[in-house]
Amino acid sequence: MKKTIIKICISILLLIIIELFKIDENVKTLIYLIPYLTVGFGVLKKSIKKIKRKDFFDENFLMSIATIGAFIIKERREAVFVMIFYQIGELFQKIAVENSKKDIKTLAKIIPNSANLLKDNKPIIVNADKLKIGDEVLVKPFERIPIDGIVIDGESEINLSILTGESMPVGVKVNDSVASGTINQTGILKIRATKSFDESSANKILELVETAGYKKAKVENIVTSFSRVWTPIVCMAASLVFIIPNIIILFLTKNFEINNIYVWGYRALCILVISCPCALLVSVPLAMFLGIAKSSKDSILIKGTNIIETLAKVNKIFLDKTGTLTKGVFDVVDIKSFNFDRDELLKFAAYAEYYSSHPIAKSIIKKYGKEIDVSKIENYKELENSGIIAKILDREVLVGNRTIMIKNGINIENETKVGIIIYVVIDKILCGIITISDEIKEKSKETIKSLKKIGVAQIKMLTGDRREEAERVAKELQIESFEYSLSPKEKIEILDREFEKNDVSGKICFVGDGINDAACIKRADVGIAMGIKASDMISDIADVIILDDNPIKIRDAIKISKRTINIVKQNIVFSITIKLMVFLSTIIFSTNMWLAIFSDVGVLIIVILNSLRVMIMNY
Amino acid sequence: MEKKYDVVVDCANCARLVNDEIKKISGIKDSEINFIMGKINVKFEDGVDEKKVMSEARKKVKEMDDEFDILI
Repeated sequence: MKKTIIKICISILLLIIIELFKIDENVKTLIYLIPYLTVGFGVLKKSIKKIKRKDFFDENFLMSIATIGAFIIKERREAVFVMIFYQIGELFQKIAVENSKKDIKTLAKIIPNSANLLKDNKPIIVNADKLKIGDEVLVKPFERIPIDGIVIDGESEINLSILTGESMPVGVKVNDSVASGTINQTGILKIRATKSFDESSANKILELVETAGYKKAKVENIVTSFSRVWTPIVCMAASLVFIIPNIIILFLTKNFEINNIYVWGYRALCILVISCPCALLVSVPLAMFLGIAKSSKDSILIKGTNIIETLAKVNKIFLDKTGTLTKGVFDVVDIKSFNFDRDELLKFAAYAEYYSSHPIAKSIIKKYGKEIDVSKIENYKELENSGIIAKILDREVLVGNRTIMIKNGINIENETKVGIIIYVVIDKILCGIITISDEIKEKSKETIKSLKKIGVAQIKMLTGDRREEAERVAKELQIESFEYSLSPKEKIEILDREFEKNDVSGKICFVGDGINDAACIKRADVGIAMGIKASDMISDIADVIILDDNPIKIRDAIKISKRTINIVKQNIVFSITIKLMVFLSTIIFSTNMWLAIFSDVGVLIIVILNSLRVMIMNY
Repeated sequence: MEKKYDVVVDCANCARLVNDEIKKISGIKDSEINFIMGKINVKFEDGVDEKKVMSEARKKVKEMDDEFDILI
């Protein structure tokens, strides 16, 4: 690249020097050849090879013909300039492409290189890609976790920013799972690999981004087909522009005049200069690629440029509730006690739930937060519907939902409160009610609001939960339309019905996180999976993966796509219009080569700069 | 079978031409080029020796322009 810059500078300098002196007409061609060859020798060399291969529609070849032609008709200065600008355009293209590659290469850095494999408890350094499932590795502070696995020894904090964009470290301890690519911060961890290197998070993410470019958007294919015909047509036109007028003039005047050859030759050469469809061929994939790069920077993985196209047309969004709009983590939101100490009530409930692995039980134990003396739990018995009966601190405790209370003859009022309600009965007297609920994600409300704002016509929440819970979330988030108590099959049926009535132009998007959403994610035009935690199967099916679990990224993904598509359209319209205008004006009126140079290189540079705007957007 | 290779091409138009050329090689079912990443994804016919096919492809690409290359 440096070489090209130097060559361009030297030849511009030489050109200026030549212009300063008055040069005799006879040696002018020779003198102008010096800057011409300085900058264009490589191009000429390439095109000679093309002639050997009978490949006449190559841009090097066309540029050579155009410039040599210009020399012949004594437009030497233009010839040199065409070459200089051609090289500048090429250079610009290279710089733009190199720079956008860098965005992906920073991502490639998350791939861990080496690992401390434990063999007979001694660490040996191996290449990370040699690791197998079941291998045990040691990860020191500030090292990247080389492979997906579970912690078998040690405690530490882990920086997940590379996967989720979240810079707050997360604490991990024995039996927690960790993802490759994340950085261990404080302690030493021993990890057992649960996945192969290729299947581990970091590698999968990089592969997704890298392969995104293969699935081509329709518009890219159109552009490619267009350029296949553009070059031959323009070249044909150029030769016709040269031949036909000369024949007609010769026929009409019966008088051969060298001047006519010059005039029409010049026009033909101008047309050759605009024959390369580079501006189109570069700017469309570049903008698409930048759309993918920009979104992956913001923790959104879009699996192909075709998906950018579909995302930009989304007008109906169906959202799963648990895990998508809510955290999918249960929390105690309310404790009501009847003639009983509130903390004591919680203590009894926590003791009762101690042996249960149900998420509801865990939320109660978490809320209690103190040490549990297991020796005080006796006669523990789990009932159906996750009810529990046990003797705790020598008192008989029964906890469970409404059904269990009725079965055990406990008189309860008809509570209308939303959330999951757990009744606590001590010595056969109802002592209190604990309400547990799934917390709504921080950004969910803003997400719904902004999705409406960017023109999504229909937003609907689909949930398997019961009505009260669905109503609570929908009301809080201002979602007007929702359906509840759905089985995964019913969810699919709703999508199917939507597909039947949906018009072709609008696309249907489904956002979900759990295994039970897999079918819907696949069925929708665009399936979005939430969270790196989303099971592997889903991330394979989904078109878009939102790594950091943040619903606002649904909006961001759509916005990036819309902007990318807009920019692509601008580029196409702009470059084709300019080229056609120059093309027509060259045939109909007179023209000059400067205009042709502008419509080639100028347009190229403008559309590349325009594409770069994808990267500098705010939501 | 599908495999990815690094390609060296210096312009978008050339990438298109290289891809068109590679598609013609016998033993190759389809191929997609990603000019910006400098990668080509090749789908082979069943039962072909992909090393042999790719060295053929490389030769072809080199013939087009000796600055082009496929890293096998």
